[in-house]
Formats: sequence, C-alpha cells, structure tokens
Amino acid sequence: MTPHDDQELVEYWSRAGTIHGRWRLTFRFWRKRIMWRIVVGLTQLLKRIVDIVLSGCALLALTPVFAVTALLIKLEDRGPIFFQQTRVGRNGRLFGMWKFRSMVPNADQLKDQLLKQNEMKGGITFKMKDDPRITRIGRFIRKYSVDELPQFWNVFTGDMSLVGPRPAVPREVRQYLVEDRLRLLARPGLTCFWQVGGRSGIDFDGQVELDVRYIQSESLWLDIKLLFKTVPAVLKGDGAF
Amino acid sequence: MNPADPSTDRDRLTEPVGTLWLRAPDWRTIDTVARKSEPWVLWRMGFQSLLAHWMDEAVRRNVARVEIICPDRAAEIEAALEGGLYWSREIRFHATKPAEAPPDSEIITMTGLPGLLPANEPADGTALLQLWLSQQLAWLEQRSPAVSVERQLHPRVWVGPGVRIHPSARLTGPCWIGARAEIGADAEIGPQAIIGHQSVIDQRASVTHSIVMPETFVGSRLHLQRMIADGYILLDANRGTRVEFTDRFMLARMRTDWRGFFDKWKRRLST
Repeated sequence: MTPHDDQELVEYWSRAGTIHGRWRLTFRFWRKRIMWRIVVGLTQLLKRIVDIVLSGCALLALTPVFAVTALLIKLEDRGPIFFQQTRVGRNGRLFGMWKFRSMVPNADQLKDQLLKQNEMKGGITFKMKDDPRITRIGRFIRKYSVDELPQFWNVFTGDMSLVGPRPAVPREVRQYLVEDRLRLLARPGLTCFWQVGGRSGIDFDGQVELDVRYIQSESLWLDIKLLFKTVPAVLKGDGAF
Repeated sequence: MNPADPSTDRDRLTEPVGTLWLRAPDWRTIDTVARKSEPWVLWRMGFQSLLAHWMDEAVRRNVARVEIICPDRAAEIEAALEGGLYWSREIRFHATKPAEAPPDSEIITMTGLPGLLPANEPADGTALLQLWLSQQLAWLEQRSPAVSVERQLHPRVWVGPGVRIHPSARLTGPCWIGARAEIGADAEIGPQAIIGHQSVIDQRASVTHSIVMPETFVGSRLHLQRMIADGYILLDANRGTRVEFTDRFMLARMRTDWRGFFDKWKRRLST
C-alpha cells in the first residue's frame, strides 16, 4: 500500500462519515442491489419463459404430426400410444418423461436378456443397434426423433428445459461418480452439445465432459444457437438408433 | 481417523456395497461466536455444506447406504438433504446411536471435511470459528483440478458460470468464485479466497485468506483478512469476534430477508 493509497482511504472514510457521503454510498449500494436483482432474476426467469413460450408453440404446431404418429402406433399393434419413463431430473428428483411408444409393450422384461449384449462403450448407458424390441413404426419415428417430441410437454410443465443435459434413468445415475453427478445440477433438456455433435456415437466420459462444459457456459444465446443446430442434426437422422 | 481415498478409477460398474456410518457432532453449546442457526454439519464449506461433502465421499467409497447419527436438530439435517436424491444413496437418520450400529471406532464423526478431519475438537466458539475457516482454506488448497462446474482460468483460480470480473481486478490463486458473482474495479481476490455465488465485491475491496458467503455485498475499500463475511455479519477468526453491520454500504445481504423483516415488525408492534 503506497502513501497515496493511504491518503485516498482517509479521504474516502472521512467522506463516508458525513451525512451527505453516507447517503451517496447507501444510494450506490441500492443501485448495485437493484441491478443485481435484475441480472440474477433474469438469468433464472428468462430461460423458463423461453421454454414455456417455445414448447407451447411447438406443441401447437406439431399437433398434426402427433395425430398421425398416434394413429400409426395404434394401428400397428393396438398397444398404448405414449410411454412414460422415470428419469432423473434436476438435483436428482425423479419425473416421468413422455415418449411415443416405439418398442413392443413388454419391452422392459425383454431388456434383462439383452443387457448382456450391451454394445455401448463404458457400459453405463444402455443403447444398442438393431434392438429386436423396436416396432416397425418405432424404427421410423426413432430415426427422425419423432418419439422424443412429446417431451415438449415435460418442458411446458417445467420438469425439463429445451436445452440441457439429457435426463438419465435412475439405474444409470446410481452408478455415477461424483464428477458425473455435476450434470444433475442443470435442468435436463431436449438437446445439448453432444446431441448436436456426435449424438449417440460418443462415450460416457465425453458426454459428461460436454454436459459440464454446457453448464459452465450457460447463456441464453448459446441455448438459441444449440436449438438451431439441433434441427439439421435431427433431420439428417445421424447417430440416432 | 479415516483418510479419504480419492478413487480415480473410472469404473462405474461395481455395484455399491456396505454402509457408511457418520455422526454429526453436537456443538450447539460451544457455538458462542458465530451463532449460526443451523447445526455444524450444514455449515457451508466451499460450494456446499459439510454434509454434502460427506455424501460425495459416500459416493466415492461406493457404499449403498449412509446412516447418520445426529443428536442435534436431526429434522433440519434430514430436510436439507432432500432424501439424498442427488447422490442416489439410501440415507437413514438416528437421534441416538442405535443397537445395530458398529463400535465407535467405525463411526466417523463429521468434525471436518473428508480427509481433513482435525486432530482435536474445538473447545470454544473462537476455536470453532477458526476450524470453520481453516477447513475451507484447506479444502481450497487441496482442491484437485478435476471436472467441476467452475472453469479454471489460471492454475488454481476457479471461476463459476456467469461471473463478471472487472478487468482491473487482481485474482491470485488459490481462489474460487461462485456462479454469477461480481468483482469490482481494482478489487483484490486471493490468495486463499472463496467468494460464494451471487456475491458482489465492490471496487478496491480486498479478500485474502477469507470467505465471502453467497449473496453478500462487500463494500468498497473493505479489507478482509482471515474473516468470514456472511450477509451483514462479519466474523473475525483471529480475534474471535462477531460484528453486525448496520451501514449497508459496508457489508450487506443482497437478497431481501423478508422473513426477518416481518419478524422485526411483528416484534415491534407487539411490544
């Protein structure tokens, strides 16, 4: 600390001692606090507002797609149209994620037999090519990610967000390491870095790293960019089984 | 003493087995300086509570169940963990040591962070405050540059998402700045500083060997050394003192404490 600094400090605090100076400093604090309130409030609110507006529009706009898909699923094997899967949401809370049913109705029982043939690197995510449980319609809607569209409803109700790490199933989360659990800090979403990039062709450590990088650099502008990149990735249908 | 073993193997396929027995120390009577409203295990250590650090440790040890003996405010601790969903481990709470518990040597008393347990328990409020500060600074010192939500700007300078730092501010490692904090012009942060999330450090303030709790405003030209700033409360670890500030431009809480506000007026109107 130089003498100049000392002098400046003395001047500052003696000014703070006067009524006028005190008022000025208190005013500065309130100005800071109001700005803080706006910034913090907006970061929390804006994403949710965008989620509600965009998912609401999407649900309305996609009604014809929903109707056709529902009809086709019903025609193929007369089973239920939707399929609700328990997933892990923000901070580990469980919620039911909606999907169009793309597998035969007793798919979960068949899964245990198939677990041994798991192809995924790292072994923690269960996903395989040419799964025999998938129906004919199911294969088509999975290729173009139509089965994921009912999740706009989850976004609308607030369990999910448009952009965020994909929600995992509880069995996977039980095996997560401490570092992997960081991805539970964000509200899960429809799309994130690794869906836009390699989609299913990326290993588990890579997924976690990308999700954490997303949480690190969270901003509304990034969300919008990722949403725009998702559309061509889905239309090309690459990487989705 | 049970040293923590940071298992760095990326093996996620071993099923969790066994039980981790923890005990929360009852330090209600010796907490005479900080006078916190919550029990010791819920005090913040870095970015999360002490208990959350121990739950992380339970995940690292890959145990299936955690049993916690808490003689002090068990309901509050249970509510804070929210069923342990984040760690997906089964948690059971006991007010006293149950019959099925293992001998005392196998129960870890959470006097400090995993791997940093202090040699002896604090005897008075000043010692408790010093333990709180030293535990956090030790956590900062031994923090590994593994995956974390905070980005490492420089070696050992961690900065959370959405942090605004004035270009003239000086950061010295090791320091850790939580999400959406704001560092003003000419501010000095570190060495050894933890700034909680959404805090504001005003211009020319300096924070060294100190902790600023989340959502705290540190006023201009305030120099914190070996102190803990928590809202309008300043705790000095060296002298063992607690000061409540009434001048908001020096030290204040950013979020309005509505409950405290109404309580104050209720008290004023009733007397």
